[in-house]
Amino acid sequence: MNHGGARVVLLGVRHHGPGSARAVSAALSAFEPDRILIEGPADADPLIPLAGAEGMEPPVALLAYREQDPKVSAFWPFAGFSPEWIALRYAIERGIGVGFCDLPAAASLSQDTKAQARDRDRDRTGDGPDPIARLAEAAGYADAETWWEDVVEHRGGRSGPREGARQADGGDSLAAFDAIAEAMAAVREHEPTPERDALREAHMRSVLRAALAEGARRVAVVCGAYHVPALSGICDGREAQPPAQAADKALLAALPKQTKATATKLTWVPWTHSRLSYHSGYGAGIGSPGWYRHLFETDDHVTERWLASVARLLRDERHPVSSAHLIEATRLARALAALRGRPLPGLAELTEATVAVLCEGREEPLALIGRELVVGEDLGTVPGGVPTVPLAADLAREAKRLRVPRTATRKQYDLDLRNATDLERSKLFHRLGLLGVDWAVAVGSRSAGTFRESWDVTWEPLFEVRLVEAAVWGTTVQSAATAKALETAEQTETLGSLTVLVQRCLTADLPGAVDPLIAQVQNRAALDTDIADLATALPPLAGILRYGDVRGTRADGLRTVVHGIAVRIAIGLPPACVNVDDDAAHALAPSLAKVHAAIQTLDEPAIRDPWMRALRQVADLGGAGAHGLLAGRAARLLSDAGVLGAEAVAALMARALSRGGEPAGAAGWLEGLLAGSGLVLAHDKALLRLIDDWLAGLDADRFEHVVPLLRRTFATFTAPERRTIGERVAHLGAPDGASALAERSAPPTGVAADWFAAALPTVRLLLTGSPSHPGSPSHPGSPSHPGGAVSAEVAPTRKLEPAP
Amino acid sequence: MTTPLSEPAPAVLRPHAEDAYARELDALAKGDTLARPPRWNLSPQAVTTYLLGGRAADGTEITPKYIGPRRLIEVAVATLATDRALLLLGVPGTAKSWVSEHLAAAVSGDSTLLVQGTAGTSEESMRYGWNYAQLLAHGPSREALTSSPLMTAMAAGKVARIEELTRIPADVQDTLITILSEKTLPIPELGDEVQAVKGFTVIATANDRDRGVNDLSSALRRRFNTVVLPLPASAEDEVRIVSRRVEELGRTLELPDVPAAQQEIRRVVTVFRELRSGLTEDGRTKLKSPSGTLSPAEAISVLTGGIALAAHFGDGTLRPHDVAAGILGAVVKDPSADPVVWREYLETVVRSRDGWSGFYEACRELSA
Repeated sequence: MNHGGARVVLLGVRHHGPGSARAVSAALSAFEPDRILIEGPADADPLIPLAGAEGMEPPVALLAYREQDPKVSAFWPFAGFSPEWIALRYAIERGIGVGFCDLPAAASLSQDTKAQARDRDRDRTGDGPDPIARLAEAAGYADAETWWEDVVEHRGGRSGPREGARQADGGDSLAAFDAIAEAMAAVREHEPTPERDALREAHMRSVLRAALAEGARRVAVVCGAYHVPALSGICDGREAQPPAQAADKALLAALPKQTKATATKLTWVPWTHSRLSYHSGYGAGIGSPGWYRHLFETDDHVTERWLASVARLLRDERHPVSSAHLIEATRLARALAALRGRPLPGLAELTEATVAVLCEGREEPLALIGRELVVGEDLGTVPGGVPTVPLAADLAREAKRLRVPRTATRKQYDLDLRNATDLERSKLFHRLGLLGVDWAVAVGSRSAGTFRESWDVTWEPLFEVRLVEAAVWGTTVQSAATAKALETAEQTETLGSLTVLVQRCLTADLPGAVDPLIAQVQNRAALDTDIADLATALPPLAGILRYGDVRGTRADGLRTVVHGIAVRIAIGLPPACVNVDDDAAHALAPSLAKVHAAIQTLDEPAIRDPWMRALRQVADLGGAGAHGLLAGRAARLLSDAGVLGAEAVAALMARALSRGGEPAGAAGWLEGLLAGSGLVLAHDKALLRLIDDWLAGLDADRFEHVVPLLRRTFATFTAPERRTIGERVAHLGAPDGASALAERSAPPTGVAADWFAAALPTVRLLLTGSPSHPGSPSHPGSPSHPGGAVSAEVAPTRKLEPAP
Repeated sequence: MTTPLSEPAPAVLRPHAEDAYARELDALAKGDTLARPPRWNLSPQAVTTYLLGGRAADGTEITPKYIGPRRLIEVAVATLATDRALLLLGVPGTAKSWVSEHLAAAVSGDSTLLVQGTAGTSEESMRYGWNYAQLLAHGPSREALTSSPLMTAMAAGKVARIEELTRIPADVQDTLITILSEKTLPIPELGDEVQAVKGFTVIATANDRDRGVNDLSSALRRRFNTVVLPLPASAEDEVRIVSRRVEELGRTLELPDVPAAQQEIRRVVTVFRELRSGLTEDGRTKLKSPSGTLSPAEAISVLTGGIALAAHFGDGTLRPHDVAAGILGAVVKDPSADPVVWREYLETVVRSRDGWSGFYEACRELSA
């Protein structure tokens, strides 16, 4: 077939290669095509004009997804330095006809579902053999990336890429692509073409033929270098090598027909640099988008400018870096490049020079440089008119299924989580919350049960934008929330907030996030030296473990983590209680109680025993370094748990309040023992008796010494508390049980007495289980009766007098 | 300085690198066609090959002198090629001096221009001293001057070596600043100076755990490119290094023959690696690291001590309790923080590991 003088140039590129982008730009200017074909899903053609729209800023990605099942999706990312993007913008700006020529996304998605989990796109790291790796190997390079950078991206010797590209204008710029095509042809000659690539190339050829048939005279094709040999010779009649038109037609006819179930939609979504990089699991990603952007945007002094931006970053982090450092780093980078026979220092040389000179051997700042510069966090934007993203579609579908209409008026949902639909709704709301789409806001539940939740639901236009932004995380609410939660966890500083995140993921039922998060909790806990931090983290986790929840979520790894944290707390607790100031002690004391409660509810000897031993140690350290408050609290917790008998507590108290100790420490101890409230003395007779007995046993000298300490502690109690304690002390000698009511000193009179009398039979029924009790007094006392008003600090004295 | 190759060398305990590997250096030099910096015996590429091993142009096998990341050696050689001074940092036992010696031998053919840094290193040993008999007899002159290795290296355009730079008192360290930035050494007594000839450079080594001893001033620091030599990357390498050294030491110390149980060596290396890296070998559990170095050298001494215990007081076989005390001593250096680290490690890792119960018991006994 001959298209009468029409010319086709094949611009073989590396996807996201900045050198390729410059070369493509130069080649297009030189060739002045009237038609441009770009490797990309052919059914995305209607979206091309949007690429030139106001508000379209790369990095962006073409997103294709199944309408019925958005989980089946594929992305074609474009950075500002991607050759495809350059070609796209070139065509739009000059009004040249432009189209995508790869298999339609609808077809490639079907292919993908067949060939699960393979890299869906991009030949360079694709499923087949890697031809570029073969070329690199032949040139003596261990690494295909480096080879391509040296040979193609850095073309132009020491003068820097831009100059290189400039030299290579006119015919030269096209000659470079011919060289690539030749090399690629040589490689592919001996490689079988994978089935998938054969199909894609058949489609590319048929689009190219169609363009020529439509009358295009000068066609430029921008595609992966790998495909160039398969496309060559179409217009000049040398079709011996690529399969003929009829063969291509037959191949493409075998593609599955689109049905309603496989209907595919396409749209633009904002993308990020970090998602272009390898770490995000995108098969054909690039490791250093920030570096590539630098290469693409810098006209001269690439090495110096890069090192200067590293220096700026380091200075912001208070690493002193001088200009002299920069000079030496540049020299070292150049020397390294020369030693390795590379035309220009690459990222590897620059990084090594950075460590050896700018960072003086330390590798720690590299993580920062990697994040800020090598990857460089850029977030793209897309204009308002882009088609709905699958995430929004998924949300709409879910909302319809769960009958939650999207209205701007506020509506309250009271959910009963035992009901399947309500449970689903709750999960949806929690997931949206994780995505930052606060369509539903939790409000205090009217019911106390854990199976009820109340939500205020109001739709705001802002959420549409948020959904588009969140589209980068995934195509369904669930997958997006999972990815977002994991990302958030990366940036979370404290263990406490991490455990909160675990809790949120459990309530949102995101099993995919929970396990990695728990692993992170474990890692963080292992490195955390702050007992207070660990102590805040344990109770919520223990709660989840002990009670599970009404949602039926499971977290298998949780038990190990809780055990690990509990053991670490137990080991770290005694040293953490020593040499702390009052503020720290007051901060730690409540967590001590919470951890204790959590461990008690778990009721597992493996963690209970070390914990009790640790508490015992803290209690024993009372006089020797441990803060009084914490030692006292430990003694109290042990006493409540029945680990320490009354005598042991008394001994500890005697030691803590003995003359040798600091008065402040003794007061703190008492405060810790009473947990800061007098109420406990009013109700816990055993404890009251303990203190009373100890006090009564003091001799006069010691007593004088101790009174101020007691005064200090008891003065913090409220007046009614003190009064009640006083009353209790007066009746300490009376036997227990039935006498509880008899302790009240004087009967109330008047109306109050009648009211009490009326309630008495019920109270008696509740307490004893029998409607009447012959021996009981008819007029129980009121706890607040003025007759019992004895201030707490004089109470011990009263007790002392009769027993000199 | 060097023994002529024609004569049989006397039984030197340890020959210099340039003598021991003279054959390899010759072979490399003969086949080396690449550009050499002024006064270098080899091209930078050939120096790299000499250190990392490979083949000379005539097929002579070059043994690897350093086994580790290639890029580190490349950075070191590139540094010397840009006439910058090179600072090799690393914990004890990471082959800093070894690399420095071989670099000097390959670049200048002379690894003996060496200043050993100690707390007592004086300014004379960095600059120059005087031959007092000459000085008194003939007055100040170049003849009365005794030059330091640094001065010799400057005059001859060779590589000078400074060992343990951070042990040298700070004021003596500062002597280097002029030498490294001005590349000249003034001799005010004679109104003269020695200007460095092309090819002169300095390789210094320092222990980065010792930073506190005499930390380098930032003025001096700036004049060095720093390369940090890491600890062995894989457990296998480290086990191999440790077991070989333990065997050698056992022979030198003439300890009774105790079969150095591979199992215990592996265990000690595992404990050290895990605590050092803050991560269990299976990569699943993170750990806190103690304050000590836990270098291969320490693992070697723990095992040697354990063998002595086993031989003299035990049943002649290395058992967990023979090494437990040594490990405890190596791990717990800081009495306040390290015991917690150790106990956490025992309780969260050692306790549940298969086949480690004997070791766990032995350690529990000691730290209880």
